[in-house]
Amino acid sequence: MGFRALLGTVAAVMTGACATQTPEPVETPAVFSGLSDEERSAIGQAAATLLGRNRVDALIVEGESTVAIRPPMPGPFEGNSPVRPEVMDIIKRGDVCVLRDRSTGQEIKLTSVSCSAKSLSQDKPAAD
Amino acid sequence: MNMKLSLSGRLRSLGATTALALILASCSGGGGGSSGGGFTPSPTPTPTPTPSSGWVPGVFQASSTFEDRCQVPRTGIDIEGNPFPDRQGTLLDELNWLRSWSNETYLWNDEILDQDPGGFATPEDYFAVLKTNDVTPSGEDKDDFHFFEPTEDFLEARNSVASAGYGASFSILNSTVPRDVRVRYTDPDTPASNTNGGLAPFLRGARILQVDGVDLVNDGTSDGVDTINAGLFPATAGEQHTFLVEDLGGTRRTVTLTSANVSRAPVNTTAIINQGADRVGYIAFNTFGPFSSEEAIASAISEMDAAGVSDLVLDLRYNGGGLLAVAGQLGYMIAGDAATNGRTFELLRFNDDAGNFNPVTGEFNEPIPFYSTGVGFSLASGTPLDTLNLNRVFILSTGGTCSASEAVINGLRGVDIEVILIGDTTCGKPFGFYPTDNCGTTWYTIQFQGVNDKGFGDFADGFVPDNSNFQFGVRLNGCVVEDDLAAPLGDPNEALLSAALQYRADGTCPAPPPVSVSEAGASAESQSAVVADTRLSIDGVERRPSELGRDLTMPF
Repeated sequence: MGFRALLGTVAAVMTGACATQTPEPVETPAVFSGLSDEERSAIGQAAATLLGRNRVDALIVEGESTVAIRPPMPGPFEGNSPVRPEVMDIIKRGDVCVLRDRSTGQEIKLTSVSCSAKSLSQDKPAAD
Repeated sequence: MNMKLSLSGRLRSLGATTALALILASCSGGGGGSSGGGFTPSPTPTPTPTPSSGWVPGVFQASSTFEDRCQVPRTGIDIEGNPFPDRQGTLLDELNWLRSWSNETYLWNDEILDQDPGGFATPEDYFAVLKTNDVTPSGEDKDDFHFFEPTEDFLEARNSVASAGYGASFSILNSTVPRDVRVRYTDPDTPASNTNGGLAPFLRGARILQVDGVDLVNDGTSDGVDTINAGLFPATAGEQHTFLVEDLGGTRRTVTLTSANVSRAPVNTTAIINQGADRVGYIAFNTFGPFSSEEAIASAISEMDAAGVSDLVLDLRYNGGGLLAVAGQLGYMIAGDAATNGRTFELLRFNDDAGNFNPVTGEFNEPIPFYSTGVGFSLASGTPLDTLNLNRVFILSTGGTCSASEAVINGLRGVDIEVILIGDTTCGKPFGFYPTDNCGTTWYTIQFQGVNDKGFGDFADGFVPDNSNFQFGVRLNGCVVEDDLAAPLGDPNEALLSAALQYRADGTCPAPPPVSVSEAGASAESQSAVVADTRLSIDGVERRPSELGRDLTMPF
């Protein structure tokens, strides 16, 4: 590739970059607080939708920036059970709260639940 | 959950072979044991040759070809709300699924003798031969843990967090006349332990003499046995039953308890014991089973950390296992970051055909680490865990110390943390499985063996205190000591804990046989006859684990 061609390519890339350079909403880890039963249910339902299940058992701890989706409880004979919860990160993107599956990167917006950016000094309440 | 099933219901589900085994067990006069493993259907198929089975030795179609193709498909949804996946199929489809699934996932798939499924009349008969017939160095069956149950029962069990009871665990020292049933421990804040201003109704070591007026020790009638069972193992919450108990020392009391829906407490007791200038921590950790075990053991370790303990006695004598992730967390909390960072707590080793993948889930086979944070069972994912940073731990054990409890021992040894074993040989269950439904039956076949950071996992004959006469197993520093019902858990005078403290002080084991219930004035038989974690029907054949977290332990 000649110098002119290379220059043209670089210019095109830069132009393209400029053309798509719209302000992205700031994305931060977020937490829930003061959740009602209905909001907890909505979070669980959103997580279930994201995972393609009818329902999930979600561990939602206010003040923490993750939601854990617990697996089915091991049966009485499963003394070596390798199961582990799936973790979803709570993200605040602009004014929107999002659940993001940590293993797949897939997301779902929470339309009826509010969240706030997690502060570094956030206290950690006990698990519910 | 009602753990005590009717005889007829249970036998329908498990088949005639099992029924015979149970009847023999019930007539043996002993209490059985926790180390025997359990129900292994006898490999005696009923031949019904069907030459048209299409069987080609050594050639296997994918199990997905036959999956959910059932002689009698279920319709509707299960108790978890999931629709049954069944489609119309045949007996041969069900047999072929077992054959292919075993070939794909069984740990020792190269030790299965491939047999024509057309020669078997039922899936249960065929499943019985889809296993190895090899033995361990001690002569025990290499695979003691090959069984099945109705999926309905499996789902009911795993969805029952709480069950009707009093919050007491019983040791059945002798299940036939003259019977001997003792209180092994009680869970905190339950009908069995609530004092209401006086003594708790049930105290560790107390002998149950009567139930609702029936002589538990000597009554030989069927009605009497029914009354005893109904009282010891109430079917529902809210039942009131009266017991005559004899406490250690001989005091007799009549107590009335009302059953409730109770859950087993993962951490039963904690204590801080002063030994010289040192503080020694004690934790009785009874199950890795429920999700609450994550928060409970993390909290107990934090208590030890805050107290500044310089050693830990971890009591796993009644802990049959459960969640391996919590076991990995416990390993981390004992050993600390420097000893465990980047190391493997346990790797699941599958059959040779699986390569680096889990043949059950299809996922890459990631090792289980020493988790340094909560994983989300009951602690938020990412919650930092406290550590004790110890280079050794004292573990109290019996034959009921199984599975994930043994994984803690093995995982710590893998990163050169010394484990000092006080008590008895552990049960020897490095194996595990993913219970799998097909056509209404949940099948348990061994699919993995847990190995530590050094690649070691061969403890099928258990971990053994060094001064034991048992010739097999993996020997660890420590002492053989019988379980001691004569003192509360966490009492420095209790035999196992006392032996741990003695060993810690001067490296010696108790010379004479330790105090046992029989020496304490009660009329126990041998402690070795204790049926661990079982609800059994006195003189009957209903015997079930009463607590969650017993892997590879048979239903009876």
